[in-house]
Amino acid sequence: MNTSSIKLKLLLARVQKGDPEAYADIYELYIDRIYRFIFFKVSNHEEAEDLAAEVFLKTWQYLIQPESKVNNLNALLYQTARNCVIDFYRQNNKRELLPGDETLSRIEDKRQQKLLIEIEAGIELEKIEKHISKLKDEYREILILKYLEELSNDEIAKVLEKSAGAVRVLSHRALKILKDIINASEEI
Amino acid sequence: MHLKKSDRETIKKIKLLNQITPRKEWKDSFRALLISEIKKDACRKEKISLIQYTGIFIESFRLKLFQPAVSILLVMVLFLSSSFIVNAAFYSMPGDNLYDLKIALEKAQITITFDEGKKAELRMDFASNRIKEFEKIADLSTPLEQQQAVAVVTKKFKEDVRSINEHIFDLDQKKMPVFSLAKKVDAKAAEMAKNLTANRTKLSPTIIDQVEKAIDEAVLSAEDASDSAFKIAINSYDEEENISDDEVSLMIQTRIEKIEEEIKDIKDERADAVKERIENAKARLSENNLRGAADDLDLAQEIIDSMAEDETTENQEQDQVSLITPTTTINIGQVLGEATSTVENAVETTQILIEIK
Repeated sequence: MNTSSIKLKLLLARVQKGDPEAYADIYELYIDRIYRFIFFKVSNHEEAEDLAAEVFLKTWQYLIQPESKVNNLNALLYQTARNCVIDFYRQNNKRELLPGDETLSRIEDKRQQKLLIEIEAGIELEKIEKHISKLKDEYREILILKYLEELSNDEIAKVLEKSAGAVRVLSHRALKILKDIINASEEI
Repeated sequence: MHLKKSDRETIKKIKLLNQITPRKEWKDSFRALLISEIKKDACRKEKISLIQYTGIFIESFRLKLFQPAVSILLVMVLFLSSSFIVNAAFYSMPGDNLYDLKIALEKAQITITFDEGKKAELRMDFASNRIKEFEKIADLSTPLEQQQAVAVVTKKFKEDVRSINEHIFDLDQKKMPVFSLAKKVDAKAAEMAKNLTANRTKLSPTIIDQVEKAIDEAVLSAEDASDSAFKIAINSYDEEENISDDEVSLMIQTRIEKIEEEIKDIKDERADAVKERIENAKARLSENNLRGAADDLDLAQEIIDSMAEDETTENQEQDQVSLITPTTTINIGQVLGEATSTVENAVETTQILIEIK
């Protein structure tokens, strides 16, 4: 993430003092990422919206507790998102990500849709989404966090409750498997 | 960490997924909701506590309503971070966890509304919610979900429409001013009937047979509501003051167009009778004889209703005929055969008796 860590720390400090505007800034910085992270787990835009909303509300409630100690907002938000998805699966008895939905229909802005249809990247997007959906959740999660959301290994370790070493190994393994899937599909 | 070229290419593809983002409208609307929610927390910290506030809230409503159940429901809404849950419930569909809460909240709103006119308008809004839900049923993923949702939505819709009918009827009986409300109900109910008819075609074809009856009944209930409201409006025109002729003319004109549309492709001598009534209505309308025009429309509607009833009866009879199975035919044949044999025996017996005699 490109936003300076100082800016985030300042925002966090203001939020912990109960500043709603600071939290609104955090929302703007993170909403797309949290939504995306959840979306790749639940594969449904309405559910992703609901869960993303829940993440921001829960995070606020946590941050304004006097006893809360947060050093890393990135990790907190993704951890909360992950927990919300786990609870969601438990309550709804649902399986995890199902492949196959039309990617382009999820990109709501019609102008974006048209543009993507017109350029090759649109087709590539659909392909990569299909490929990534074939991975098991653990691998998919780590690739999204590391390469899409650009979290550090330490941050990912906090989110996934693993060691940084395990994250390194897993991300390497996940990338290899994804590469194999892509190569296999290109050979067909 | 040094990455191989192939790894870099794979990572580049992963980054394409950045294009998946939430809907702008949702993002913006949730942002506003989030800020309003978190500002309440900021305010509550400084002023009276939530518990004190809730206590005052319950007490004032209990005195007015004498309905603890409603108070409890409203308190539940407050304690459940109110706006978020309420908004989530608003978008819920039959089968969702929050749908029952959505319906309960609608009922609670009616209970705590004291103005009769506003109550009826709320009921119209809730019937419209059913139409919006019906429109979204086609987006449900499986035919079974669609079928179940249609059953729930059409049943609730008929209940809502019945409540509206009863409400307007009550107001009319109490001689309260009802023209304005009846006019809205007439227009709105007709529109809802049209929407139901239009949206049924979007449902999965595999379930149409199973849900057709429920949808037909819902459409009919909306049309009946529109017809009743129209009659009540015309009666009020006679009794209330300050109702403009133009408003009533427009209602009558709209109804004329609706009936013409309904019968345009029907080839039946009764349809000709309807057309005749319509022409009469148009003539009286042009003479500003609004009561007369409305009476002609009433008669036209009665003819249409009887045509519809006859068609239903015919369909039911056809269904019954198709239930007669080949087994029944064979049984008749057997019975006839037995009867013939009995007659033959009787003739033979008679001949023997004659011979003996």
